[in-house]
Amino acid sequence: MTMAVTDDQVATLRAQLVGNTEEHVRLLGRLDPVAAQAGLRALISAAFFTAAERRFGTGNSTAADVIEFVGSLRSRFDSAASDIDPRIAERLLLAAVSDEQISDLDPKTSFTTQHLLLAALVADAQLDMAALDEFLGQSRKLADQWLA
Amino acid sequence: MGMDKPGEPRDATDKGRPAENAAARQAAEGSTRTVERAEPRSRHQYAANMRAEDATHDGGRQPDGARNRDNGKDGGAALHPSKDDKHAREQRNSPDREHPSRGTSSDRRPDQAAIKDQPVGDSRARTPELAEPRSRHEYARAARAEGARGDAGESGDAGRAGQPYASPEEHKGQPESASDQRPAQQDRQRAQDLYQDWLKEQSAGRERGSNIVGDKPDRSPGDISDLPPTGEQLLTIEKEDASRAEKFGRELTKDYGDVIDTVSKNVTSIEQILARPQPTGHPEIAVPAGSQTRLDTPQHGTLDPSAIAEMGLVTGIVLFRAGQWVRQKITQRRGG
Repeated sequence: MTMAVTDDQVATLRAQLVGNTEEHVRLLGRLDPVAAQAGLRALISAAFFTAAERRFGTGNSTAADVIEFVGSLRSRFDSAASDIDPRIAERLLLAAVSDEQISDLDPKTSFTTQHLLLAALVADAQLDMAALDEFLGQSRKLADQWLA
Repeated sequence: MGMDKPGEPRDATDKGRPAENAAARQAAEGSTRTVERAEPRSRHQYAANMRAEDATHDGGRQPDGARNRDNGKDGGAALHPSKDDKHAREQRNSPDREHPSRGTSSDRRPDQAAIKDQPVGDSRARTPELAEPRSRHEYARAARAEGARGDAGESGDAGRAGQPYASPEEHKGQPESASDQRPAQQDRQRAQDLYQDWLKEQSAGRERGSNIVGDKPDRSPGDISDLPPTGEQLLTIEKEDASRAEKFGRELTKDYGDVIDTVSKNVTSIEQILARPQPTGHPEIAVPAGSQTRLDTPQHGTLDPSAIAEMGLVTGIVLFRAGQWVRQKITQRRGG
């Protein structure tokens, strides 16, 4: 049976990225836990990969830019010291634009860090609704490829 | 020139030219000596004999018997010099005789004359009879004379090998070869036209010589950075992107627990991240290093109108107060 990203999963992530926390929490509670285990996880990972590639994959960015970005991210929320390992965050960003390997990372830590980095990347990109929908559409397509 | 007596010392000119003396004697006597020997003498024996003869002729220190001991028949030839010997001595003592270093003709030199009289290729008969080794010039002349004689029957370039370089004046009288003749003007013009036509075909409409020295191109011809990627590069890029994306896709195969629970825990942190986005603009304001204080006016500037007015005002106030003080004192004295 082939898994795919559902519209509810996309809507849940979209509500979170636009800052509608109540809607996000509400939609999150309605998701199928079994389907979300693969679909929502793949969607968040694909969205992180797409956002990181757009931000640092232009050819002008360097490792110093990645380090600076992670440093700024850790200054934006209170529990950053415990939620984000800067080294893992940098490796995840570099893996999206280079040959950095992440196979040795803990899956839960990797996914949590990708989720937080995704929020920071989207916030910095300052996407409007149309651009956000286009971004989520591209991410969903990539996630479906992974799940296929 | 009289005939020298045997055993008497000769004139001073003979003392400084032992080689010529030996060659002259060789020209006069050598043929007899070499022919009569059953075996040629060795170099050492011949040198010893020649030194003995030179000593006898130059200083008279040795009696003629020394020569006779070495060669009994030579003694008779020396006691009774032949006409050739007399002729050689006359040539040596003649005032118009040229120095060897000035390039004398070879027929005047006794050693050269002796070489000419000897058979070509018979080095055994020619070289051992010299009392001293010949100089480079003498040897070169002898070699040239020998080469000219030996190559006389040959033709072409092989015949010129032993001859000295012929000046262009010498070539004037000789007919030009086919390779030396210049082509006619019409032929040269036709060849030039053919070359120009070939150049036009090769350039194919391009301006030849447009890239001149000093007019360097702004970039390398191989620089294709501004061109879109080729098909092969596109395939490579797609493969690289796919490989990077696959790294994250493979991570999905690892099961770690409840995704919804993890996302729920990040709600607060993400809410804070979205509420405080990264500030835009320059994070820092550049402040130039060093002191920024400086004098606005020069220390020794000229007087400006404002300074003059200020000075006049101060002076007026001082004078006014001084006048008041003087008037007050005068009033006090008159009143007192």
